[in-house]
Amino acid sequence: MLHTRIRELRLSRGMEQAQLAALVGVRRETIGRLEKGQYNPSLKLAMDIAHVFGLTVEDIFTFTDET
Amino acid sequence: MKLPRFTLTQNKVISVCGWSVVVVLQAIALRIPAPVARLPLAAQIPLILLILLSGIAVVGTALGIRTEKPDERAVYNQYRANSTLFTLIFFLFGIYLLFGDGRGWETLCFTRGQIIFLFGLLCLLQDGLFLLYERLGH
Repeated sequence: MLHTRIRELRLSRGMEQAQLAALVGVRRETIGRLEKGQYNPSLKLAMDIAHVFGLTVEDIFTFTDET
Repeated sequence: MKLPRFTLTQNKVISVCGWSVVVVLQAIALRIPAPVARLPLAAQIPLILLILLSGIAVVGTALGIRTEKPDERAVYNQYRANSTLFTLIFFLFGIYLLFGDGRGWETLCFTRGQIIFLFGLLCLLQDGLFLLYERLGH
């Protein structure tokens, strides 16, 4: 399962979902889904998000095996 | 006056409403010839307005007028909707081939009115499936 720190990082920077969405070129709903771990982003989108926060992809996204 | 901008989800909801009207009215029209002309004038006017609004909704949403651009998730969900629709049609053809023999189904033909109904139904299903995947899909 996908876990992300997007919400935490976004709120720490006082950013709205719509602002982050505009920065990485996706819809606001997609950011919402990402924050809930309900969407696996493409590598490009993951890298774009990491770039916005000045972190690496691994700092933001983690996958865990849940059976 | 500034026209509102729609999200992709709103666009699809409007499209579903438009196509629903087309499908329902066409289904009625297939059963009753010229159903609007049979109604009194007071009932015809709102019905004609509804048809016009549906037409505007269907064309406007299909062209994506004042709608946000689809992102990678929307493209993915559109692929999924199209794929599901293809599987459904594939399945229906399979049923036709398997069980059509000896039931008078040798020739498959549609009238123009039936094509309008089927076209509307396909568009309705396509947008409905997209919304379903947007809401429930992981």
